[in-house]
Amino acid sequence: MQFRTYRLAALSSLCLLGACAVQERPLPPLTTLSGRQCAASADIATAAVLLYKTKDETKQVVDMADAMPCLKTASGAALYVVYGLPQTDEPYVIGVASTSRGGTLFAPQVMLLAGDGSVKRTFPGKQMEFRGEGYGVRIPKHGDEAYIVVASDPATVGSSTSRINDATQVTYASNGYATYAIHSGTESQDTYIYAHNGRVTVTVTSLVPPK
Amino acid sequence: MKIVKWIVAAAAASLLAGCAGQPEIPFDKSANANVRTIGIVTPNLPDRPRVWLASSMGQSFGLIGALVDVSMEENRNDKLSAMLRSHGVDPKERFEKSLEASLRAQGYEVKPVTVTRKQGEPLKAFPSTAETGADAYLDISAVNYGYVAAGIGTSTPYRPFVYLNCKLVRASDSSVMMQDAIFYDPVAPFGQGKNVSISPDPAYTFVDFNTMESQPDQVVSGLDASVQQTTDAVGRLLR
Repeated sequence: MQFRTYRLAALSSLCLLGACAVQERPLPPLTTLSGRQCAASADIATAAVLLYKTKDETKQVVDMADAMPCLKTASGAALYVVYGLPQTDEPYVIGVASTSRGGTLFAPQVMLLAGDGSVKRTFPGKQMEFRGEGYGVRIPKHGDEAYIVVASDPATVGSSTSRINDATQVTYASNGYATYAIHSGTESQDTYIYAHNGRVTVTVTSLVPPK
Repeated sequence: MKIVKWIVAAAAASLLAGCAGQPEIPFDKSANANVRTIGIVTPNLPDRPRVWLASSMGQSFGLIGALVDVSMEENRNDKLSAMLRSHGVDPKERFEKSLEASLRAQGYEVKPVTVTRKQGEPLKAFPSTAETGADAYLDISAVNYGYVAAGIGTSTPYRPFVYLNCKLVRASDSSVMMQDAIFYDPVAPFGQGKNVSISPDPAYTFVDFNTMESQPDQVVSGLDASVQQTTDAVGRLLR
C-alpha cells in the first residue's frame, strides 16, 4: 500500500515536471515603440560587466521587454541592453544570439563602444545569421572596446521569416523479449516574427587554445 | 566493397561532426585589412553527391539493415550522378566556381590553388606565399552534399543539403584567422551548435526519390541553388 502511494506520488510529480518543461508562454511580438522618448546614447553608467573565463564560455540571458530603456539608432527607436566587456589581454569572442519564444524573435543589432561611450563598430540587423537555434552574430573583441550595446533593429522589426527544420529521432520499444531502436525523421516549418522584444543571450568565449 | 563504402561514409560523417565541434573563430576583417588575395585550396569535395535518407527502417536492423541501406543509397547516388551527367553538370567544378564568385563578391581577389589531399581531411600544410602570391588560404573540408530526407514518408521530403567546414589561414604562418562550419538544411542533430544554419529553399521539395527522377531539371537547379547559398555564406564569414 505504502509502495503504491509512493509510486503514484512519484508519477504525478513527473507529470507535473513534464508539463512545466514543455510549456513556455507565447510572447506577443512588440513591433512598435511609438510614444517612447528615447535617449540619444546608451547609458553606460548602468552597464553590468560580462564575465570572462579562459576555460568556459560565460553567458547572460536577457528577456527584452517594453520596460527596457530605449535608444535612438540610425534606423529608429530601439530597446537596448548594455554590458561592460571583460578587460583582459586574452583574445575572446562576443556572441549575441536571440532565440524564439513562441514565434517571437528579438531582432538584434550590435554596437561596440569605447570607454568614453563613442561607437567603435556597428553590426546592423542585416549582418545577423542563424546559427543553430540562435539568430545573431559572433564578434572578435578589439582592445579599444569597453562596452557592448545589444539593441533591437527597427529596420528588421515587423518582418518575418519561415524556416524548415528537419530532425531525426531514436525511440525504443520492447516486445517483452528484446528492445528495439526505431529511427524516424520529422520536418516542421516554423515562422518567426522579428520584434523589439524576445530572448537574447550574450556570450563571452575565450580563443585561448586549451593546454 | 559496399561494407568499405559504408565504413568510409560513416567515418566521413563522424569526421564532419568532429570538426563541427571545433571552436568557431570569426574573421576580424578590420584587423586583417592586408588580406586581399585569397588562395582557395582544392576543396575537399566528394566526387559525387549523395541521396541520403537520414533515418530509415534499415537502421533498426543492425548490420544487415545498414548494408541494405547502403545498397539502396548507392543505387540512388548512381541515378543522381547519371542525372547530373546527362545535364553536363560537374558538381566539383560548379562548387569551385560558385565559391570563387562568392569571395569576389566580398571584394577579394581569388586564386585557385591546386593541392592533393585525402578525402575528408583538413589540409595540414599549405603552400608558401612565394608559390602562390596569396595573403591567406581558404580550406573547405569535410563536404557532404546532395539531397537528404529526414525520414521515409511524404512529410519528410527530399531537399538539397550541403554541410562543410571552412577555415581561413594566414599564408605567412598558417595561423587560423577564421574557422566555422555551414549547414544548408541541417538535419538535427547536425547543425544544432553555433555554426551557420541555412534553411532550405522550399522551391526544391521532392516528396520521394521517384519524384526527383521525374524532375531532373529541378533537381539540378536545387543542387545549384544550395551550393550557391552555401558558398555565399562562406563569403559572408569573410566580410
